[in-house]
Amino acid sequence: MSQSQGRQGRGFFGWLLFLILSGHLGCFGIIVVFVLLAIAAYFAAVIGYVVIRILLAIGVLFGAGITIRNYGQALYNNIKPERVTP
Amino acid sequence: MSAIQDPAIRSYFFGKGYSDLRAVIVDTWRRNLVSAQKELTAMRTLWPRSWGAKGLALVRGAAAASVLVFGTAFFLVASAAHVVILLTFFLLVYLLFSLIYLMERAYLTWKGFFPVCPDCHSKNSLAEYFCPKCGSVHRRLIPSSYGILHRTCTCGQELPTTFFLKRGELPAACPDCKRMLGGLIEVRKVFVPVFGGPAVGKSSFLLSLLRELTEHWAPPRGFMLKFPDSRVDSEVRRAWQSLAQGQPPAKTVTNLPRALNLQVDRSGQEGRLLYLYDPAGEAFSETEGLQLHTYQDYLSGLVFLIDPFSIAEVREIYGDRLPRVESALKPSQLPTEDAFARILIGMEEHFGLEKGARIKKPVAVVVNKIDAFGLEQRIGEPAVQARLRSAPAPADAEAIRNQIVREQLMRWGLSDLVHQLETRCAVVRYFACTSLGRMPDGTAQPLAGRGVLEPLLWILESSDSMFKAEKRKQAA
Repeated sequence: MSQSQGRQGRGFFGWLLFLILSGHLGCFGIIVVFVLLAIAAYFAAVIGYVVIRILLAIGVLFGAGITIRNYGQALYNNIKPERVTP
Repeated sequence: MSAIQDPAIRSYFFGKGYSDLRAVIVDTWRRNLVSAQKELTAMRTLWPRSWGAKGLALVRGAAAASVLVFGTAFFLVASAAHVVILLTFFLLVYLLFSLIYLMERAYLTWKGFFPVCPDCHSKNSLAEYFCPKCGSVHRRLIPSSYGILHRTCTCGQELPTTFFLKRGELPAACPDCKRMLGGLIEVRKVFVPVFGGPAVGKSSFLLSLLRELTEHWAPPRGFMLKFPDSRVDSEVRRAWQSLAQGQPPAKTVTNLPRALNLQVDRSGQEGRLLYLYDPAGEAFSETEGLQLHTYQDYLSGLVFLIDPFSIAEVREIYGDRLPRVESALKPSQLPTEDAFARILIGMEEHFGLEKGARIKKPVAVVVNKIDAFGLEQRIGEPAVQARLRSAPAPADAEAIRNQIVREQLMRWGLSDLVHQLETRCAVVRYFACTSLGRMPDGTAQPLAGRGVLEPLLWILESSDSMFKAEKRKQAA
């Protein structure tokens, strides 16, 4: 494996680990990195939660629409307000 | 309102509406299950794919849950609303038809418009009506769950359900004996029984009266008279034919029913059903009593027929000539006082008349057979005209006639009867007539009654608004 290939395969968290372990960031840098990571994780979780809620809400609305359509179709097909023989 | 199943189409809100509701519930539930199944399958298919597909899978999964949970709740609420709407209309229709039915009953009771069978004499609140198109019998043709104002027969024919929409014009039968009730059914009835002892000439009187009424009185006044029963019509016409050929109705009328219905119509006016009854002269049988009882509510007045030759005084006066014509004259053997006593007993037993109470309906006392021995000259129309001519001031012919006959009865020794009549009857008037016009002598010379119409007209004019108005019109 060439050097360029090894750098390319390291990725974001690989680079971060490399910088921490190699002492390039120092103590303060590490704290900052972890704080930033925590904030990012929080936002990511919130966004995920909101997205899932939105998706679920869309699903619920879609289901409600299906229900109303089903009821309407059942009414249309079964209600015959003409008189019938005994 | 009725447990009777008629061959008609029931209102939507009284049957079909509820089966429709059940079908909607079943269909909705089935559709929801199918939709939920479809959404769950879509979710399972999408989930293993990309993040975007996973998002869509979430949407479809939520939709499946929503269909099951929200769908159930929604369909419960919607079904409840459906039931409420159905019940509201059910109650509304029920109230409407009940209201119209009660109004109709009240009106018919007030007017006394009930079908009375001329054959079995049963009085019912409702006849059995037939669909004019398919002939199906509708036993309860009233405002009901089959329709408020109209109902639709299973053949598609629309039938009126109330008297107000001329239900009475439909073909109908008696619910008891199933005999067809011809003519007007739900109309005002006028009941006039003709009482008298045996052989006073009641049948001849009735036949002559009907002839005068239908052939001479009705046409110039715009009245249309007919016998609703074709059998009676042909029998009566046959009897008239015999009279026209000089034959007394003794034999011919044996086929005639003693109850005769005559339909009286006039353009623009409510019709009438005139019911003339000739009870057995001998006595009131139990059956006849029951029949008379049926007509109690319709009694308009009575005709009390007197055979002058049943009066002892008259028999004595004409004693020398009577035996020669006895077979033609057929004098009644029952004394007049006894005949009247029987009427009173009959009225007390069958017409709800309290003992000793007065008969409130008009009573026409008619002396029959005045063609014999020149009685007509003494108490008939010639006598009335003579008295009118000799009166110092213009007088009323009816009052004169009343006076002449009353005086004659008293002269014949019937003061007690006259007194009893005037004590027990609130309104009495005296008449004289000859129901055959002459004594039957075997010749073909027509037999035609005279003075037979006046007693009936007087009763009708005294008790019925239509005839009262006609009298006023004629007087004007």
